[in-house]
Amino acid sequence: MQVFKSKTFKRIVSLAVLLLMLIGTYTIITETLSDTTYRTYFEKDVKKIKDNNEDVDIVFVGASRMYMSIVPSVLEEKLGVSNVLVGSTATQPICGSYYYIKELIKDVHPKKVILDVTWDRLLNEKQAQALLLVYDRLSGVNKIDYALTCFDKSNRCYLLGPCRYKDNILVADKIIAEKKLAKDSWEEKENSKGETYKEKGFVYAVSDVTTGSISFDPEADYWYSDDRILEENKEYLDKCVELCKENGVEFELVTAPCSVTYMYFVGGYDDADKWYRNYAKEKGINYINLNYLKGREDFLPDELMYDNCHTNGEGAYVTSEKYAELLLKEEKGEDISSYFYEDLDEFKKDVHRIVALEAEIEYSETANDDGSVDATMHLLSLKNPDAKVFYQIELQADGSEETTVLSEFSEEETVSIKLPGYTGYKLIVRAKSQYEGDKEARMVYSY
Amino acid sequence: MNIISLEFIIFAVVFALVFFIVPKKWQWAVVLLGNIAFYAFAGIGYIIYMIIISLITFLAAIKIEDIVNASKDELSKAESLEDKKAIKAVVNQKKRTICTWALVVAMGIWVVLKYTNFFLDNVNLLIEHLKPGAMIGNVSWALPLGISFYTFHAAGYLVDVYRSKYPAERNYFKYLTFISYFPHIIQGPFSRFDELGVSIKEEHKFSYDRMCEGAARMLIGFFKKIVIADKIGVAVNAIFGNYETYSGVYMLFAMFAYGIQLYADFAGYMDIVCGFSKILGINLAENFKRPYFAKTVDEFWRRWHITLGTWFKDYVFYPVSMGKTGQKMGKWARQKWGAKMGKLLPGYFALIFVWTATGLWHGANWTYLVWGYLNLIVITMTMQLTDFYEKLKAKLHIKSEALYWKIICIVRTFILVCFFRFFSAAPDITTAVKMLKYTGINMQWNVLTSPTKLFVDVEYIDIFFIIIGTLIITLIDILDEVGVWEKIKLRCPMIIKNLGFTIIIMLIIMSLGSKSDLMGGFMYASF
Amino acid sequence: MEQLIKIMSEIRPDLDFEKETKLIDDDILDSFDIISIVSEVNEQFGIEINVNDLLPENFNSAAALYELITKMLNE
Repeated sequence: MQVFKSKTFKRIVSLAVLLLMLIGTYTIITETLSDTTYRTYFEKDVKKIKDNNEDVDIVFVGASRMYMSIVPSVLEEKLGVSNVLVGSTATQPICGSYYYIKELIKDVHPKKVILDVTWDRLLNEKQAQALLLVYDRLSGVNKIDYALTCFDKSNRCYLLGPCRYKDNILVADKIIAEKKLAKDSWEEKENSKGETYKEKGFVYAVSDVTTGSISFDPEADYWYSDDRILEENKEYLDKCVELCKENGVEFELVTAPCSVTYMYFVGGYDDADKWYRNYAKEKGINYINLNYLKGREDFLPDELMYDNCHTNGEGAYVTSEKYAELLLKEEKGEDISSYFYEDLDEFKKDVHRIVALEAEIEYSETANDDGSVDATMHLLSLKNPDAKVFYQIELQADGSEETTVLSEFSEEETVSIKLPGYTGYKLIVRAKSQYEGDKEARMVYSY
Repeated sequence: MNIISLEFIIFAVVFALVFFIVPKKWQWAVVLLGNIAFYAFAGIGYIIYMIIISLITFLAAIKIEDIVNASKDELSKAESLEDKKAIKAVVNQKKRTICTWALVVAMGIWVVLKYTNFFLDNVNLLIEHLKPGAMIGNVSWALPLGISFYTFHAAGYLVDVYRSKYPAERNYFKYLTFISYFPHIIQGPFSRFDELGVSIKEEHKFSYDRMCEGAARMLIGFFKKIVIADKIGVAVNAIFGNYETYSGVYMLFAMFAYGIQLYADFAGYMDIVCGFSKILGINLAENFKRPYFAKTVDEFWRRWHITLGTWFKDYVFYPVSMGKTGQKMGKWARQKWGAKMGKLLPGYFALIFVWTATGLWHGANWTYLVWGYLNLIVITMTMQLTDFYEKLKAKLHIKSEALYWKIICIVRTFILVCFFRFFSAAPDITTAVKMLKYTGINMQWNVLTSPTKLFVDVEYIDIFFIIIGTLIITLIDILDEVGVWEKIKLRCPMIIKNLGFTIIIMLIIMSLGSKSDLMGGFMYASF
Repeated sequence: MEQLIKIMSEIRPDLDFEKETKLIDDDILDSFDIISIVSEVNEQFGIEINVNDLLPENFNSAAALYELITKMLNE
């Protein structure tokens, strides 16, 4: 058996062993540590549709706003269509959307593709995690093409499984448990964030809006202007339009609901909407901004929001009903522009409340003799331009219904108060305008 | 081109393929083309400096050799010893003139490019005193890539030819290949023409085993840089950049962490370039020999950046200590203080030059000089007090061969070497002193109860990679130090070997993407 | 030759210069040893070994150094 002793043979064997070990460990690490996301569940839904050779009418592509606010069954029922898919991933870069739409057109042959767009969709740089979430949903040549085009030097390494999932080593047991969950059955399982995958991409989220208004971060620097649009992003949006046209697929744009707080807080929010309206007109496609739907203040209050950017489960049903009505009218050829506000100023006229408030608390270094602590509160609120804000600060001990007023309603934005030395109480900040009928805003801080 | 990049790997693979495909007599030309391509990534314009400096030294070396060869005729014709001596004297005079001028111009270019701003800054300090407000503006020349290395290669070559160590190279392009050799142009090792130059010109046959050896070494280099150096560097930068917050025990940690980072970074780079060179069959000199196992600072410098040390030894230390001044000094010292001092003093005198040059070579800053002189002081003091130490050890019954004593020396040297680096790491003397101050105050010992906090800004999982990586490299170095590593490598069963490679590769992959910034570029690259 | 060995042994009493043949190659002598040996040899033999002569082939063993000394004495 001379050949088995030859140097060349030994070298080949050694190389083969090394390759096997590498591929083996690579696969084991990737498979064990990869996150289980809605992708796993969604893939099973799509597979069912493909296997049964069913028709798909509409596919929604976009970010988590989409999959938390569109309920497929509602649209299917109202529009009389079959199979509405919500193929969105969390935070999707527009170049990812393009490749994803390509894949969906090939796989499920939809009649219509609706892309979600927001004020920051075209402003954002590509981010590794976002790119990867789309990467997971692609296959074959399209996947390779996407990886080569949309990934650059700084985030290419994350295409390698061990590199991408190494942080999961620390929570390996949780990861493996979630994997088992996904394997057994994917329906109706709530994850750690209170989100439940329902069907065809829709995720039902439960929110905890007990503190009153939805808060905002005064430090966050969110603002839109036309010149902040990245050239690359605009190009990919154009490509999406072209792609659908070439394949005879209807293409539409939609802006899913965000909170009213957000609309007041983001600088230039209106300009973003105007840009999309113009773009849609230019390209001859439809665009619906659900935030500008007349009566929005009434049918989508803060209680139906999950946070600033997403509706919660109930809010999704409400949104889907309204949206379906609009789509129906659109199909009949009706001009639906009268159902929307012209701009943000017109919308604000229908808002009769202090929209949101934030408080920053500064404590003095030392306690007073009786144990209480002096503090200064800096108050900030979002409101209509003509509104005056009056703030009141109250104290409520845990378990009691009674409140003590620490500072009465006043327009002061910097208020000095005295906090007790013990814990087990809530600090309630109320803000009201000068108008009698307006709703109050309140924030609750627990100690 | 950054060595740690996909571009470099592709470049290296293509280069190696072409290298082994072409007829062997053209292999050196492939190297030259590869060198130029590599340099082009940095900015092809800068190559003009390399060409000027290499041309000057090349021509000067040839001229010197021609003079010597011409004089051989004359010498054979000469009749008396007197005549022979006269001819030799003239020849030596001519040689010295050419060599000196060539060196002045060639190294002068380097000095001007690198040290003008340093010079101007100090002149400005003086001017400020005399005439406040007046100031000479700084120049904005960029330092051409690798100039601190190829200038020294060129100068060393010229001096070697001057010393008749080996014949001058007559083919400029072959000489340029040596000067521009891309594996050693950015961070060394310092090479000699009679080793590397000759090796480049030889013919190289492909060897599978040598390729595996080289590739394995490159892998270790990538491992040291990616898993250890870049990651621990994040903590070092965060702490050194904010020593007022991260005072006391943080600074102590950073001091040692910096030592590890510097070693992993530099030695890692050496592994990559030496490993790649080995694949080609061209050997580069070793630059590191498990430096932190040194028992004295003197020994440390024979284990760390070895080729820098030998370069200064051959071209600064010996010429100064054995020159006329050195000899005179030795005589004088022998008369005054006896034989021992007579031997040491010329050496000390030469060491001052060596350490001034070493310090300034590392950077155009007073901090590097201070750092150099700290090393110098410790080295000379140790030498001076050798007898005293021997007596002390005898009194305390300490045996030099005892393991515990060796370990104490190793630890002591490690601490000293890391401590000196406060000066080389700080941007100026004031900051260095402040850093020292904040190492000693506000100790924050309580941080030691959750030691992972010391790794400031480092992601949690990366802390483990750093520790595992450091342990692996330390283990290998220990085995190497006791002489066992080579045997292990030879006798290791194939499965264990491949398992080892797999672990290393997986750790590298997992360390590639980090949410914390990857350190861009190597630490010595601005030379 | 004995004179040479005596000089070298005085500088490095721990080494056996009759046997050692890799004084430079194996880093046995350090640079201070070398300049001491050279200065002593220059003094006692009346020659002028300089930097240019510091080649491994001249210093690797006592015998090699002796050859160098002899050569210089004959010139």
